[in-house]
Amino acid sequence: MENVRQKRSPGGSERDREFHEFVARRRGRLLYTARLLTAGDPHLAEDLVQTALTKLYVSWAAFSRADNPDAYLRRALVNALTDERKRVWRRFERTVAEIPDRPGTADPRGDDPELARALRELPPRMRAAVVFRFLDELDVAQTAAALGCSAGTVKSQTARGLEKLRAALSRSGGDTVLQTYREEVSR
Amino acid sequence: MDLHTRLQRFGGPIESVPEETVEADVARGRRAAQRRRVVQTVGGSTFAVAAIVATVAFNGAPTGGTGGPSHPPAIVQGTVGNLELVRYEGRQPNNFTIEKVPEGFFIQKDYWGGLTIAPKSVENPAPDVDPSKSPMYDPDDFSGKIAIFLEQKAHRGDISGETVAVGEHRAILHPTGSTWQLLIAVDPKVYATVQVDVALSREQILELGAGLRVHRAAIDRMAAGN
Repeated sequence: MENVRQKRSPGGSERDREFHEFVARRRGRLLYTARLLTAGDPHLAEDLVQTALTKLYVSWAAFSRADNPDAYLRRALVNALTDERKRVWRRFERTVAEIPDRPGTADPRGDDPELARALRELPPRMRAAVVFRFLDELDVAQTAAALGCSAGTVKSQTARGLEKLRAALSRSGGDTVLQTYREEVSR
Repeated sequence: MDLHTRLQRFGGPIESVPEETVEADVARGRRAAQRRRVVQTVGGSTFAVAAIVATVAFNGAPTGGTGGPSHPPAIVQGTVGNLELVRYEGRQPNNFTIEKVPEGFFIQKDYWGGLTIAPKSVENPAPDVDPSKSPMYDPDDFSGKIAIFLEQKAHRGDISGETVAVGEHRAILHPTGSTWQLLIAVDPKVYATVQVDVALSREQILELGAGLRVHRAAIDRMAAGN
């Protein structure tokens, strides 16, 4: 069996250079978003980023020509999140896979298990709508482009997502959380 | 703390990216691009697709689709990458029996819920090999390998793909990205999924699946959610 991995040609291609620069610049932010999209699962978050970046490399020409490359990138992340294969993989890897022991790679679920549980209860696309609208501060149209859905769907998914978060957190957090929710929906 | 701040903290810090991580992303992308070129080259001709339809035999006879493409364009014919299936001569796993593996492959990981089958080139890593940097040595990294794992059907929901008979079981063959999965219904509640990220033909994937047996104890354990 020949080694299936490819050796990098000396100097790399133009695509390699552009992609390399892109990853160096954007990967940290991507991983941050992925941690939220995965309800704080650091393994799955890393997996999502790797998957999205791999798809990006393969479709680099299309990505480079895209009118809205950030939406393209976020769409790749969401697609990776909803890709059934990844969910299956992670279920079996989680008990054994290790992540690099670097600052910031701690499992955030341990820091805020209630929020982790509440986020996990949201369907993936609803979770993505909440993350993109309130954490990435995208407007409705940008979020719709990232999710590949209508503006109306973004609004309804975001509202329902926040409502579900409220319900879950108020069960465990009481009035303080309920108040913060009210502040959020009025933003 | 308001919800916005709480979510921000939950996302954690935005870290700088080590050079080796960037290099690994580039290498992963290049491998994916290469695999895509291979399947497009081999599977792209009308003749190749027709030949696949004509040579489906033994345990892999199509029995009707379930809504997905009956012959996805990325399916490959013959022995792409010079991979041949051979009888597995090594020690059988604890919870599985496997008859065939690609020549030059070994069982890299054996646990109650699955197997990882990898090229023998990574069988005996040197002491200084770091699997986090050389993922082929990582038994939980399935790129360039065959992964077999049990899963509860309930976690899958509806799956589109081609329904086939594999041995005494029904199965679904479907593409996922650059890989293929053969989900074999070994129990009303459990799939034994064969995930192929090496250049095997459709017939070879089905042949490999037909030679797989899962021990009852492992099926029952997965069905019970343990």
